[in-house]
Amino acid sequence: MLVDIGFWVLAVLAVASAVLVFVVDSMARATYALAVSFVAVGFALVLLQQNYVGVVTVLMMLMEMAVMAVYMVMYMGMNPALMPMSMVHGKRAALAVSGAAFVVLGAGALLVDWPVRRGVPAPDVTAALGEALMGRQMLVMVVISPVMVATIVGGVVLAAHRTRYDRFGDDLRRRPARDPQRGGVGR
Amino acid sequence: MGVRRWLARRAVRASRVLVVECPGAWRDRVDAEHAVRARGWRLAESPASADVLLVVGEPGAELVEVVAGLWDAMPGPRARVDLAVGADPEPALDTAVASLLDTSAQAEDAGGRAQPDLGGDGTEHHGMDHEGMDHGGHEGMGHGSHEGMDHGDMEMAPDGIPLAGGTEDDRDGLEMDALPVRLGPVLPHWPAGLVLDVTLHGDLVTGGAARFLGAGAEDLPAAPDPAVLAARHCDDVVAVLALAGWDGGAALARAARDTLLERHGGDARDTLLDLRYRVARSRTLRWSLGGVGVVSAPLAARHGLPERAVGDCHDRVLALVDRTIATARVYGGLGSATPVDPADVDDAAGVPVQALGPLVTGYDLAVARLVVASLGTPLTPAEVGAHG
Amino acid sequence: MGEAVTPGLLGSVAVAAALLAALATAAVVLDGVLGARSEGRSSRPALTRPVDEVARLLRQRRRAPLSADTLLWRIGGGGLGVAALLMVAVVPLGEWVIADLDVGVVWFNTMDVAVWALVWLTGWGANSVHSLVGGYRFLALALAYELPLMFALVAPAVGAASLDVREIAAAQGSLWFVVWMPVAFAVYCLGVVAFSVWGPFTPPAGSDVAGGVLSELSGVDRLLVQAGRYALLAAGAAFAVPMFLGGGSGPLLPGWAWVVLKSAVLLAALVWLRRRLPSARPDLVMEVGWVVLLPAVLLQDLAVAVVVAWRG
Repeated sequence: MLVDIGFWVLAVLAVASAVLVFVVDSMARATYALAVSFVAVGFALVLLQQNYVGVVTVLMMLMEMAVMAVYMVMYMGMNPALMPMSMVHGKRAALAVSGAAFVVLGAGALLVDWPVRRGVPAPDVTAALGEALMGRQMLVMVVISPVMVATIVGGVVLAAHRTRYDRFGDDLRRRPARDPQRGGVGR
Repeated sequence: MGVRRWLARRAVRASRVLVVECPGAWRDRVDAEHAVRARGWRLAESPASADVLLVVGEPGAELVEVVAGLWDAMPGPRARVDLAVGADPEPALDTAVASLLDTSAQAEDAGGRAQPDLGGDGTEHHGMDHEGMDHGGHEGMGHGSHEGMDHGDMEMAPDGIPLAGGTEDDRDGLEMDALPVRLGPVLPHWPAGLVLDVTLHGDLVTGGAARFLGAGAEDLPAAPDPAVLAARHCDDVVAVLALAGWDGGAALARAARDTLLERHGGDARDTLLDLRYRVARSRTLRWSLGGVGVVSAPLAARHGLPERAVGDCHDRVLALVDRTIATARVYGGLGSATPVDPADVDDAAGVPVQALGPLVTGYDLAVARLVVASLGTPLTPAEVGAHG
Repeated sequence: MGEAVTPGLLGSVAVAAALLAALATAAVVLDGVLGARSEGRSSRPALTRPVDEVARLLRQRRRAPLSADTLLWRIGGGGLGVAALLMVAVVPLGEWVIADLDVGVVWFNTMDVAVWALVWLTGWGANSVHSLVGGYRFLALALAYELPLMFALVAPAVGAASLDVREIAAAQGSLWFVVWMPVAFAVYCLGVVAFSVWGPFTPPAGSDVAGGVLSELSGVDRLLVQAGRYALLAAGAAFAVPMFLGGGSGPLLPGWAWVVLKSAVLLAALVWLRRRLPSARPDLVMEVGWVVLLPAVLLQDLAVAVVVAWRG
């Protein structure tokens, strides 16, 4: 009973704040309306006994939205970000696409012949979920994660317009390095 | 009623005072701050946090306007006291207490204000005032008309969104909005009456111009007492250490300043040498200030800066301490056996105020503040003329 | 103890809130006394400072700058204390805990990330330059301290092979984790000071930007933010007790008393440390966080993992 009420409250909150993202007229409000929506989804996962997955979702989404605020102002400038502005554009196409997606997903959720539960849930459902998702792919994941890190680092290195030659000189011997602003380690 | 009275009495014990120092009232400002601290009160950093507005000295026409803005930005209950040069701060603070405790007058004051939402502390609302903006629900990023927007000299994009293109000197190459902001004249640890109009990209200063409010020939102070001059130099050290966030060091420098003012010769020597030792030795201070805000010798020469301005902020704060010690020697406050010829002390070697703008350009706000403070109180054009 | 002391949820929350407020108040008083001492003034005003300051801010009218986003502004300011309370909800007071969550460590981490959003909103909502700069400074600091803090939280969890705070506390029967995870403990303390916008991590509220995120706050709004900062500091100190300081274990006194005592001692140490350090600007901390702290704490985690694997 309590779980049911909790689920409905969270579900309504998630959908309502997701709608708010497009209704509000400020980037900050849109960002944090989205954050509220994700947080509600995270707590809904907690209701599924997936405590770890749920709480981590909340953590990641809050962090992500806070960082998104940085990008928001970085690209939009400090000043217009404080001005009211519409959060939608290309309204008609977007409405059609999102409406179609909603119908497909909703119909799928309602019409699919979900299997009935056999047996009892594992004592630790989080571990069971992890096993089911990752068990056989563990080797792949172990290989992929360093590749992903390398990709991120490589991307940053390629995108940065300053290289070590700018910092340390052509023979890489200049100490201290020439930086626009000194860091805290003094490399 | 009893509870409200009790609440008011308790509240007044924790009062915060926003001190406005008018040019020429340095000594009185220090005395007033001393009186404030002695009561267990604290200084406010912004008008929103202040209960008492204490105007020390005679504000010029421009400063009067600023003070009115500050007064407007105080939430209330609020009290304003003006302290004339040479007056005792204690009675003024007592007046403030009486005014804060006068609940009915405060209620009247609150009722008489236009809106509780009246903002603007006169220091930083350039380009942030969007009142009167009409934002229609247009397609895309649609904005309505922008009449009544106060964007200073900002260029408008066709869409009405004032996105300034990335300028040549934009360090990160992002298209940030150039936001004109006025720093001063009332900021914590900021030279009295100084305003620095900067252009901000984010918190990066990309241009600036500094001047003194209402600075004219009449502001040229009479040759100050060397003891007061040494204390003033010491006050510059207080500002740098406080801005660097080293409260312990700032307290020490403040103690040294007060000792200098009280003319305790032996104590002043010990305190100053202790300060010199602690500042030079502090590794964390070196970490915080070393390599920050470097001024090269050619740059210093170009802007007519004294020799002590060359180096990073850490070099300069040490130079400020040394200047204090040297000035204190002149009046014998350090009890040195050999009297020093006043001409040996470079006390006129201040920084011309016009130099500040170019010097802070390219730094973020924190470093810009440190650069301004570490150069010491700048000279007004009149002073530069008098000494040059 | 056990079953005997499980009061209702509301009662538990009230007790936790009262303890948190008491610790935070003690921190305010201690900070005031130390400050008065260092300036050679009487420390008597500092003793009643919390009461006086609360009275002052309750009496003060709240004022919002022109076209401030007051909704977001007040959510940000009011949320800090709530986040602190939610942090201590998973701290076991001896046998007794409000929320016996099996992922308490992650919960604490989530709350400290929520502070990112709250401080930034406080800076944003005021619609003033200094306030906004303060908000962004906090995010910049957060990018520097958060990952080391996360990996510092990993060390005790690996050591006890659990994310449950009670099990972590129980796993330190013979040896406190602080003894063999000193790097993780130091980084954790740094993180606590940082998310409380306190001590060396004050630049978001620094006096160079006229109080930064605090610059436009007045009245109750200011009270909530200031109280929230101290509550976060106290909550961080309290959470260190089950994580690193052996939880409620100790001679003579009951478990809950040890938890409170250890929290108070750590809190006092953090308060005392403040005056000795200059502020850590984001441009300095960023490099330290990524080049020094993160590798150091990762090595710490590796060492802990090796020890745990060795012991089987």
